[in-house]
Amino acid sequence: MNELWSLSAQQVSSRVRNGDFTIEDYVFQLLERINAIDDKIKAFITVNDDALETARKIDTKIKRQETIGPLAGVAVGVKDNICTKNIRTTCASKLLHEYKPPFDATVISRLKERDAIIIGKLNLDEFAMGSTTEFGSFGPTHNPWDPNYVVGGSSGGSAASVAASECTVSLGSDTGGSIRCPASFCSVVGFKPTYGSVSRYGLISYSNSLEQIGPIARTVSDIVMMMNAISGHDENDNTTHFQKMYEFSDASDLKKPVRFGLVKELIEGSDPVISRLVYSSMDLLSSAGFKWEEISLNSIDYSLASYYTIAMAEASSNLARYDNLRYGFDCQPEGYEWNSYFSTIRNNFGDEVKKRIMIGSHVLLSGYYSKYYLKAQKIRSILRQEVKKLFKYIDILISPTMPVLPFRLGEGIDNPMKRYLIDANTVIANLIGIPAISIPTGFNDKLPIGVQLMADEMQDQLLLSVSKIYERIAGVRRKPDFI
Amino acid sequence: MVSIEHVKHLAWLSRLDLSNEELVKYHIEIEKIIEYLDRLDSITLSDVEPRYYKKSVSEFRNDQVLETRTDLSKTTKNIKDGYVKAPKMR
Repeated sequence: MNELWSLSAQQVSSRVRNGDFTIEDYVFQLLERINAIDDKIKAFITVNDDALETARKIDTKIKRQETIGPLAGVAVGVKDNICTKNIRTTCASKLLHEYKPPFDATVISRLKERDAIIIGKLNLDEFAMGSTTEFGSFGPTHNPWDPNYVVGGSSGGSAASVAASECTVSLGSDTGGSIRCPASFCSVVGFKPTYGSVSRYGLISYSNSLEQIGPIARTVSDIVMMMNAISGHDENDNTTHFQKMYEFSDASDLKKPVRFGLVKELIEGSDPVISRLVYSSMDLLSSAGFKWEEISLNSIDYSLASYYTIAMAEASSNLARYDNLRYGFDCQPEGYEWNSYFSTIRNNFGDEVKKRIMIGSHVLLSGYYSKYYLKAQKIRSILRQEVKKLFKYIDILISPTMPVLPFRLGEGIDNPMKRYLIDANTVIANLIGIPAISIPTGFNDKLPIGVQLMADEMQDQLLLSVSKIYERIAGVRRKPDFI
Repeated sequence: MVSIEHVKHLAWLSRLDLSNEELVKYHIEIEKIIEYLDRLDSITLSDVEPRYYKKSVSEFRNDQVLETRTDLSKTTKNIKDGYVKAPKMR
């Protein structure tokens, strides 16, 4: 049988419908592949034991000519901070190693309703706090392009598994770049939709006002297919937009001329190898007839400090719930005093999580509120005004997704501040809630480089159409060597 | 400047029982990060409205009672006679 695992979601869904192969054959090949290569990559925390059984059930529906869902056959890997009923959901944290949620996140029920297969749960930085997928209790995920390099994060397993063709597509979550960063480092497409377009019900909270669930795929068309399944209003998440604006089209035709704005500060702050590549893709855009200009975003200087203040403050509140009573590992409370039990248990968080909780406690101290949190929210407001003004005459903002190339595992791990700085390009979209995408744009030797496109809020369709055009122009078609 | 006593206080507020070794290590890193966040203090923003998420209340769902059928006792190890066990308050 041919190598089915390299097919796109669109190809899988149309070919199983035509009876070219069964879903069982396809899922079996993926599981064999995970077995053969995941030791090197370590994208998976848990493989779903029921995947083959579910595949057979949908095959029977096809055989009986019953109606099947639009995602029939598509095998979705899921970041392990999204709740899956009866499949453990660990957040790569010792505190949740044994947690089997009694319910599905809304995105998971929607995928299942459309006959997608949940193939397994994917590695991340503990509670999604990090940009490299090195900070989880299951150890690091390795970059499929070179296993000595980081995969990006925090949705590192989601990007690596898609790049290595261990699943058709995946779900990640993006708080400050956690979908786009690993997508860039692994040469796949990663999309963070407008805040409120995808339900967060069942996403284990880190920073509620910033984070969104979104898809990672090998093509923009597959991103569109996933968005049509997962987006829309959900009464369990009151921040979702009420209107069903989402019937995304895969077409790349544009209704009006599109103008690009290259963000000067983000180009200047990048590795010269990356800036050069982005400038040459601007040339390609010009040759294709697009207009672009350099634009400036003055409040960028303060956006990262604003982002970390808000993220850590919200994290410190959200993670207060881990008391090991309602969920957790076996540590009986007999013989402990209330506070000492919690403090002992909670010391099982990893270093990065503990630091962020403590800094969150610091910025929320009474007397410090106006010094940090209030200021951070004000920066958010200024940044929003500034970007809104740009969107009056610019349609798409463009920048490198990451200012640096993927680096070696462990490099600079003792300097957290240096690590935080690499989020500078991605946090903007989270602070103001706009959609953003990372698209493969080339390589420096073997290391992938991605470009980031951002559009105004609710302009997800425009962003996806332009992304399809950009994808074609950039023409990146390489696959990791071992594939 | 962030003192080690302050970091100890933050650990207490966060209910984290840190070892001395951890305290020393985190102190250095936390100090650097807080210094970075302090740049927020260097600008005056008195006439700027902070950004909060706003949403119309008409989008709330109807206030209906729904029955929960899931057995939450399976998510915890600390169950006795149908109750969740907790440590003693002093």
